[in-house]
Amino acid sequence: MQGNNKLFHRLVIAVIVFVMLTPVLATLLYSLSTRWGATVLPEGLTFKWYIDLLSDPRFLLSFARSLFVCSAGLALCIAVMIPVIFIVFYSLPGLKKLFNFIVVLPFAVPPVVSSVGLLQLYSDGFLPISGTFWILIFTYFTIVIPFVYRSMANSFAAVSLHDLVDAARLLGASTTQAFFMCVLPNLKKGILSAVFISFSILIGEFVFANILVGTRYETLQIYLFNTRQISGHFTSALVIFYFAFIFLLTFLASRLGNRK
Amino acid sequence: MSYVVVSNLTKSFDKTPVFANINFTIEKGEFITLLGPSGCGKSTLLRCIAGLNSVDDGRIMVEGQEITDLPPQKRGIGMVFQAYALFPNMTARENIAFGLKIKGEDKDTIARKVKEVIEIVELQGREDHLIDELSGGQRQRVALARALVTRPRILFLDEPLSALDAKIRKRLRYLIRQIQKEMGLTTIFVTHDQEEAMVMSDRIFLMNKGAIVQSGTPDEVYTHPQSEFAAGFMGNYNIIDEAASREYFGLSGTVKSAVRPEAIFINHPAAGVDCVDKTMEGVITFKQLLGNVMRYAVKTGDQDISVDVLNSHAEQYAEGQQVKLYFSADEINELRA
Repeated sequence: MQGNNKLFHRLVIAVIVFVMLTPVLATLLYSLSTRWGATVLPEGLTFKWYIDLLSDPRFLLSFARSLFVCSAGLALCIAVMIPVIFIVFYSLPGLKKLFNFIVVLPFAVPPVVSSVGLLQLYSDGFLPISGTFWILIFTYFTIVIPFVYRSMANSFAAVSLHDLVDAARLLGASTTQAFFMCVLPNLKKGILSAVFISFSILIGEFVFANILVGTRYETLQIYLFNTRQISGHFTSALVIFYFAFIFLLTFLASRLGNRK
Repeated sequence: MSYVVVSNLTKSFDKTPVFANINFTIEKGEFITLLGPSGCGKSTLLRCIAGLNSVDDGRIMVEGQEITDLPPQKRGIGMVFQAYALFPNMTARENIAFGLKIKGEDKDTIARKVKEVIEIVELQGREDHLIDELSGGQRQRVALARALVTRPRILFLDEPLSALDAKIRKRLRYLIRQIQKEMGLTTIFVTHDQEEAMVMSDRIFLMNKGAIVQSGTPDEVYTHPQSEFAAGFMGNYNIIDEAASREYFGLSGTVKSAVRPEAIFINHPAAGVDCVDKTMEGVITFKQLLGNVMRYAVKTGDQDISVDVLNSHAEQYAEGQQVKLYFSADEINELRA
């Protein structure tokens, strides 16, 4: 009976792994093939598409731009949200319900709709940043708030926040010292998980980038969109490249998270 | 003037009173215990004195200095929490050194003081371990060392032993009391365990529903409960109703009385004990072996009386047996109406 159960569990896992990996493996194979049209398997294998990709300065620039706006938006979000969540959890726990509502707002409004609002807000007035990378940084800040909040809120709930701060204060520390010395280091796993989930989402973001800045500030996804006509093999190589990059980041995150 | 003076301390949360008009004094070097059931306000009272919660009214004085409005970091109070509240990102040594580091003491002084206190709490060999690598008892020793190393004016212990198993609890009880005496530390201990309060304290403040209902030495509070609550909380006192108190013990008016199970004797008084003249008659309905003591439940009219007899094979009574109960005359506690 137990043997049957084990077999069934393995079967379920195998099916899920197959379903998840098939598109990735197919894309990988396509990116390595010389031609793959009328045959079941590719006609030949090559690294040409990767060499073309990595030797294209436009690609490298768009990749660097993506890294920059994603990192800046995320850093801004982490820097603002961690103190905010600390204040909510430590001093104003009554606001948790309000925050649980606020953080779902970026999901509630479709990107096409909110980007129109953002364009109106930032086109003129006190902060005319429409069409620049700044608008992407501020937009990405709002996009990742739900992921950062949820991940950090779980981390704050997992540490005995009040006890840690109270103990530190009784030992002579100010609340700020208590936060930086006794609370923040214990949020490492939450911060890493927030950073890498958010980064993976932002690096694949297309709608806001396309509507808010388009070709004026070509990010990785805009580059992918603009080069889609060149060759399917080429765009597959691009997808596999950033997929591998995200995989590497996730791997590093888990290694860093496990380190004492 | 006493070392610690708490006067008219009042606290409520969202208009729900936690405690009101609390008054007590503590002498230097005294070990006092706030004892009471869960929710009686003892931990909140401790947190208010520590400055971790604000008070609505009243004053707290330590060494003649008013500390009521001082932030916790300026009160000179060391605290050991029930859930340890150790910093998980630091080793035991770093946890202990934290307060000294914040005070800005130099590295050599910190190292010397930390080493001393590690020896006092008997934590040698574990000081470089992270907190999650230590057992519950070891963690509580780190917490104690961390509170002691800064030489606080008062040490607060907020149910520090309740998460530990019985054996470690007994060992730590002894260790805490020993250190407290050696260092002459004025200590306020919070617990709901009357046995713990009795073995550790110089004085007990018994709390119920946000008020101190009785205070005194452990012996005074245990042997002379003044209320039905105190009698019930401090031991397995028998509460004798008004009519029986009048009839058997000659008490006047409408007061109940309380008698400890070990101050009642079955069929004949103990040698050398002066008993009240009248005996109660009843039937043993239940008997229970509690190790060194045999507890009998005796039904006498409307009353169920518990009697504890030292467990010996020479003197055993059977369930259903008709017996006479003798009450020690010195152990009849008249309870406040």
